This record gives sequence, structure tokens and C-alpha cells, in this order.
Amino acid sequence: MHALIHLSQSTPGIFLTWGVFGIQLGNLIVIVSMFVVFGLALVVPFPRGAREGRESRESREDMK
Amino acid sequence: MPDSQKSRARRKSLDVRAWNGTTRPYDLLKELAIGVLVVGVIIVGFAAVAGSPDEPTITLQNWAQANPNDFVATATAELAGTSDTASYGPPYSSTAGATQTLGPIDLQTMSGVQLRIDAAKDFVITPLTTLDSAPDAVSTWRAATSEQQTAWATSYSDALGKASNGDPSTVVSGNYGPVPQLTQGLLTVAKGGALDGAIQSEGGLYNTNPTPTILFLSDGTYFSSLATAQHLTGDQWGMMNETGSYPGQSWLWLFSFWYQVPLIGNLPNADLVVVFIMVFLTLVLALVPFIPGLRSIPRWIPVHRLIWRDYYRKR
Amino acid sequence: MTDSQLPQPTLEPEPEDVDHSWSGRLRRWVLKVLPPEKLLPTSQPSYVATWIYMFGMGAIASLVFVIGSGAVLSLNGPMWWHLSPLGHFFNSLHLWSVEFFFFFMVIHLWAKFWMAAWRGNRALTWITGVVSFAVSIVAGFTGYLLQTNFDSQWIAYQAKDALNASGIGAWFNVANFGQMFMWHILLLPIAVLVIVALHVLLVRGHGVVPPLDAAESDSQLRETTPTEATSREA
Repeated sequence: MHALIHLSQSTPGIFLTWGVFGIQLGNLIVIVSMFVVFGLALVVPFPRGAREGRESRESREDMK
Repeated sequence: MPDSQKSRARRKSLDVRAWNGTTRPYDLLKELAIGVLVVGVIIVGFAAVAGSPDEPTITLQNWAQANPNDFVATATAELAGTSDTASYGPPYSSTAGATQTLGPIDLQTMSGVQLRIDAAKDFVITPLTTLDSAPDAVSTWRAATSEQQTAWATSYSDALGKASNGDPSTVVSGNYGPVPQLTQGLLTVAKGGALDGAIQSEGGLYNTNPTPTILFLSDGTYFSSLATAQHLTGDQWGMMNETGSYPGQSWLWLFSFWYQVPLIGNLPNADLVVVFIMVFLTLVLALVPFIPGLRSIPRWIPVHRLIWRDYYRKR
Repeated sequence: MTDSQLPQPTLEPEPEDVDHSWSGRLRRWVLKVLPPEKLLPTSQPSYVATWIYMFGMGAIASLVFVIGSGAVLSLNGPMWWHLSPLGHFFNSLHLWSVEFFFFFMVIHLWAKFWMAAWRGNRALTWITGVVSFAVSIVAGFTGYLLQTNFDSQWIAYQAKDALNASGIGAWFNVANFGQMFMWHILLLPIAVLVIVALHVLLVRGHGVVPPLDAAESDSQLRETTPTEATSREA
């Protein structure tokens, strides 16, 4: 069950530098993905369930 | 009561009391189950495809074989009391003036020498004794006063610094006492792999504390040169980084950030300053609900209009 | 069905029946602040309908895998994963579940900030969230120290200075494998689980924060009758 691809193992890895700012590729991907996922979670419409439309007294009774 | 006050009071009560508006069906356990399933698939997928990094440890033997000159120079510095560990101050040694302070705050001294390490003894003399290497040189060293010991080791250290490539075989002759024999003896046992065991067994058979080995290794330049190649040092945002291209502790970005600011990173008490900044910022984050201005940012930048857009649209 | 027709649970007993024992008082208090229908809800306010609400659950789901994979790694000890492909796979699971745990937790934190979710006596919920983030960072950090490879060796060396400078290093020695092992597999998991549990119970007890500037005249509130509102407030 070894990993299919090895991102490391004695290779120094990919490091990106812009002036004084530098970041490792793995971290860059993680951080960019977080912003993307956050943005998507804000804009992608949330599916409405089958019972949703009723927004019923019935479901409100559940809260009691 | 003016209208604005009245509506504010009502709004507050709306925040505080249980929701009594319309609801939608929801199943907490089902959401948890689906969450575990979906997240599980993602995690198993990443683990299977990407795996995880595992660069082997660096031993004293690796060091002695790969860079013997650095090893000898470091061993000499341990004997002279000039290595990082030997002159660290608390918690390892009582070196005066070595602590990081901020004004009158000296937490390092307050904590005391809890993990005492006698670098010359623990890293060089005791292992040589254990391994019965260079016994005559060890006896000479032991018989000398500490002033004499320091004088020998310091002049050998200076001579090594002047030698081409730090090579001990090219050092000009001088009054180094037993130091060349001691360091050469240590190099020999290190190359053979015996030094790792000798230092580790100072803590007995069940030693689970490799602190002395890690500190000795880090006093040389070999260990940190390997870390630099992997972008792991503090001035390379190394705190966040993992070996290879794997994501590391990216959540430490802010902690790591301060070390990249020259004004802070170059301070002699940079670590203490950064710790204080981070403790302060963490407290600020925890207390956002009570800090005027900060707690109003979500009102000024209305991301909530997007989050609850359905709610506001149908008001 | 009106409220009066519903069988009402007798949460508030008659004065003469009031049980003054410690256990009785605790039971009454727990049922008051966290009744079962709040603990395991089957409905949510209508405004809880966006993906942004999923990330807290995502972090908890990841935590399930952090604990699970950590438990499997515990079975065979800290060196197992270097020697066995199966062990390495579980180490990979442990790493990625931690990465996703923080991934979801940070997005959850951003979301709750922009919702100003500390409103309405929910400040302690926010604070426990921040504390669980901080404790998780320490727990994750001690895990990096236990990899028993070059990375852990280097991190032990590098991290000691900040801890020593602040006086913590004398008692929390990052280069001491045995000490860090105990913190990572016993003390810090307990701390994370306790603080996360407290956080979740606070969320359940207070309910999800209403939208900013929500008013009684909003459509999601208008449709309920005043009597209903009063009865629920009681």
C-alpha cells in the first residue's frame, strides 16, 4: 500500500519565491485551496431538500 | 425609549432567545455520518495517492562521515565552551547574559537550568571514557585546570579556523594539549557509529530522550545545511514547511511571518518578541467579541449579505 | 395541534417535589440549558441553508480520522510506520486527516467571523473555538516532533529557542521524545476533545446565530404567531 506517487523522498521539493516572499508549493496549494473553497461555499447554491418547501409548522413542532 | 433603542433591544433579544421563526428539516446525526463518509473518502484518497514524507534521521555517524572537519571543529567548540549549546544559558547552562530578555522580563532565567548539559563532558569526555578511546588524552584533560582546558581548546579552535577547509591535518603546530587527540578520537568512534550509542546510553537502557544528540548535531553546520537545502530554516518560512513538496504546518504562517520581517527577525531577542506578539494576537482573536471596532468589521464588510442572501432577499 | 394539547414534559417540578440533592440540581440544570431536542435537533432555522455551515462538521469528521488513524499508529508504537507499508499508509492517513482538520477549521473560523457569530451571548462559543484552534496547533506540533525522522529532528532543534526564550522550554522540552510522546498521545488529545466537546455543546445550547440585523418583521419570523413565540421563550 505504498503511495502511488512520492512528492518527496530525498528531493528538495518545489519552492516559489517572489522577492522577500517565499512559499513551498504544498503550502501554497493548501492556502489557495482554502480561499477557493471558502469562496465557493459562499456562492454555490445550497440544495433544497424534498421536505424543504413546506417549511412547515410540522418541522417547527420538532423543536419543542 | 427612542425607536432606535427599542429596535436595538428587540434585535438583541432575537439574537439571545431560541429561534421562533420558520425552520427547515435537519438531521444532525445524518449530517455527521455523511460528513465522516465524504471526508473519509477525501483523506483515504490523499493518503493513498500522495502518501507522506519520511526523510531518515541524521545520526552523529552520518555527520562524522559526511563532514569530518565540521565535526572536529564542533567537538573542539564543545571543549572550549563556545558552542551554541555550551553557551546557551537556561535551561541547559548557567552562562551569564545569554538569555533573551525584553526590558526587565527575563523568563528564560526565571525558568532556571532545568535541563543541565555540560557540553564538554556529556558530548566528548564521557563518551570517550565509555568507549575507551584516547584514554591518555582523557586523563591529561581531566588532570588540567578548567582555565588550562579552555586555553587549549580555544587555541585549537582558532587554529582550525585558520586551517585550509578546517582540515585538522593541516593545522599548524601549537600548544593544544590533548585536544587534537580527543577530537580525533571522538571522530573515529563517531565514524564507526559507536558515539551515537554512547551518548544515547548516558540516559540508561530505556532512554527516550535524544536531547543531547540533537543539540550536539545542531552545534555543527552540517545539520543546518541539510535543513537549508529543504527550506526548513526559520528565515525560509521553515516553520511551516515539510520536507519535499508536502504541505506542512501552514497554520503557523503568522508565527513564521514575523521572523521574515528584518526589523524583528534580526533582533537578538527575536524569539521572545515573536512569542509575545503571537500570545497577544491569539488573545485578541479570542476576545474579538469584546473589542470595539474589531467586532464591527463583519458589519462594515458585509460578507454576511452573501452568506444569508436568501434570508435578506425575502425579508 | 396547539401547545396545550401536547403532553408537556415535567421539567419544572412542583416546589414541594424539588430535589435539592447535587445530582438532582445538576440534572435540572442540564435539562434546562441543553434539553434533548437542542442536543440532537431535527430542525434548523430556515436561514441555515448554505454550504458555509458545513465546515465545522468537516473539522469534526476530520478529527474522527485523526483520532482513528492515531489509535491505529498507537497499536504498534512510534517506529512501526518506518518499517511497514501498512504503517506508512496509516501515517499518511494521520497526516492528511490533520491537514484537512485544519483546512476545515480555518474556513469555519473565517465563516463565523464574517457572521459575527459571537452575538447573543455566544462569546464563550467563539472563545472555546479559538482555544480549540490553539490547542490543536500545539497537538499537531507535538505530532511533527514524533515522526522520528529528519523533519522531527530539525523541528525539535528549531522550535526549542522560542520555547526556551519564553521560559516554557525548561518544562516542555521539544527534543525529549518520551515527554512529547506522552503529550501527543495522551494529554493533548484529551485537551482537544474536551474543548471541542464544550464548543459543540455551547453551539447546540445557544442554537445557530440569527442573521445580522435580523428583525421581527422579517419574513422568516413574521409567519409565527405571538403566542407561539412567548411559549417558546418561557
